Amino acid sequence: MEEFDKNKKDFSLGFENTEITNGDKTSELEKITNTILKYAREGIFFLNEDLNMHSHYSHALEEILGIHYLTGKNFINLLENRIPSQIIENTKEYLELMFRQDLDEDVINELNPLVETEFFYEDEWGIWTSSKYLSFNFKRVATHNKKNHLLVTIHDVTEKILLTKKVQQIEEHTQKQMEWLVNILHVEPEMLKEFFIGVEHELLNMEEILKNAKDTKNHRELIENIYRSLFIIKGNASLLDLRFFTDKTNQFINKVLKLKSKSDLSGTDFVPIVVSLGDMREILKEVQTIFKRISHFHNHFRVKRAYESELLVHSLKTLITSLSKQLGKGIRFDYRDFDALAIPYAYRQMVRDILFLLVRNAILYGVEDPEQRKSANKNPSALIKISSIINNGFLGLVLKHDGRIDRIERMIQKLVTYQPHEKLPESSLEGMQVTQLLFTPNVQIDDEREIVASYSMDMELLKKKLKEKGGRLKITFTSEECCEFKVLLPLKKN
Amino acid sequence: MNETDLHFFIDSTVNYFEEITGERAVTGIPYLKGKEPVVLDYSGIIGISGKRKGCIYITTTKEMLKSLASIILDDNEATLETVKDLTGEIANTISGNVREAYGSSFMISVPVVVEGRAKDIRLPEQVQAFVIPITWQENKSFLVVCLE
Repeated sequence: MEEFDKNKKDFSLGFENTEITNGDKTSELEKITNTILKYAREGIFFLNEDLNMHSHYSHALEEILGIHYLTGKNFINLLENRIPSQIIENTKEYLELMFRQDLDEDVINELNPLVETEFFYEDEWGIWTSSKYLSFNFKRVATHNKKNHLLVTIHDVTEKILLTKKVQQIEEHTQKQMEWLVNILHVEPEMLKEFFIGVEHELLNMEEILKNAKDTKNHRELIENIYRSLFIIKGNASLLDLRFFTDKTNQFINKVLKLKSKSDLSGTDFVPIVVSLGDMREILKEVQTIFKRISHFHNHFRVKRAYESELLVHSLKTLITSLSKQLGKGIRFDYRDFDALAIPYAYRQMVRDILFLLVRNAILYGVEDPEQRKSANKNPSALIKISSIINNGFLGLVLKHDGRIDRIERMIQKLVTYQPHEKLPESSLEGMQVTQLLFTPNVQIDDEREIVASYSMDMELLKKKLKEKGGRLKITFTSEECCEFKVLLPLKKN
Repeated sequence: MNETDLHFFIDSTVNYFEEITGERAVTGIPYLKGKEPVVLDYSGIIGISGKRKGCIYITTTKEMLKSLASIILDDNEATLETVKDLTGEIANTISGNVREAYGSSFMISVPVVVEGRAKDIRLPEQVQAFVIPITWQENKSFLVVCLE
């Protein structure tokens, strides 16, 4: 290198009009230069005032730029389609200034727009599929005391930049992820896993609804189905107190409600829905990633199957406690005849969903306020009893509650009044007729609009789930004081 | 990807049909692209890079392109070459609108036309892709937007 510097004035590299004083020395210098160019890991080349590349360039240059045969190529043309046009314009101006000898090189170098530039590579279709971060450095080279060439060195700084970006990204996400982590830590891993499965199922359901919509004219039905899936996600998220998920679902639900209120719907009206769906999928993915990370710790404290089964009862208790507290109702929960361990693994999620739904609906729509119960000569605290039985190849689940049923009757009465075209039987509306009405989605009645809508929606969902598994549901109103839901699931199927 | 972006791409495409043929295209219900291919007879692909990376493509049927050719070029016997050029033309119009809207900090590629029902169009991984069905004169096509 010292030799190279000492002979700087004689430095030729084959440039035109360059003084060659000693042939041997030049030949030796060329050998050294060629060796450097061959083994240098950086892209090295010379640029003339026309911004054309010189024939002497490092072997690494072709690899770095992903372009072969660079001799004589115009540097600016080479940048086209590989970096944004705005940067190319700035580069042109900058290089123009670099060739002006009256300007200070160090000052001009401050303007270098190609410091850590993302350089894009095209695939066989001309589409950018990969990129590298390159740092271009320009240095004036004196030949005949004229600054008419630039020595350009290119360093591949991809690793450094990507690492920096990753750190930045992690910093940006840390706050959010910490919140999520804190939010999921209180939930049992098994329950969280089940929640994820449930969300995944509903997201897939919504994706399928949109994908299969095609030329459907019945946009209302699509919206109802999406609303239903969101309703389930929200319910499960609230139950586990996953606030960020509840909030996100609420935002999504608001968009769906906006759509519901629109009179004339077109495909573009569904843009907010599909974007929100994409967002929810991203969130699920991120939360699952966090969960996977922490599950490593959970694995060390892996629970036994007995405990996992206890969790089902535990989460039902949590639901009862939180909902009854919220509604100011008193509940006694009897689960002595419920054997969670006897439930086959394949049915666990479904049994959980069914019991959650029935318990929630019993508290919401069946159980009266303590004062009302007192005045009806009932125990101020209502009884909700669950039991399970395995018999004749069926798994039976029974939920009984001693709340009133007159609310349901009122619903039926209102239906008769408001929708006479339904041709409802005028006599008894108990038994199957009541069940059928409960299974009619989107029934909406005046002041109880939301209650009835969500109740019927829930029941329709339950019916759908049971149908999938070949199961059935029986509802019995034994008296004014007791309502019994019996679910039968075939054990051999699925 | 936000709602505004998606609306922009949809409007650009739908407007093309209206401006060129005088007949408005109907936008179907958009959905998230899964693993299944969304490819019809001809596809015009535009790559986007720079501040945001991604890809947009429109894929359509030969019948639709022939119908378009008969209106735009008054050519009822459009050759395959003409049909192919038309695909590029649609993609180019979208590309021009994107360039105008997103400015010079983005890199918008020259449209690439792919003929035939390829296995699928390769899209950036880890980026959500949206499929927007578009119907013009009963002919279907899909606009696929995959942008960071």
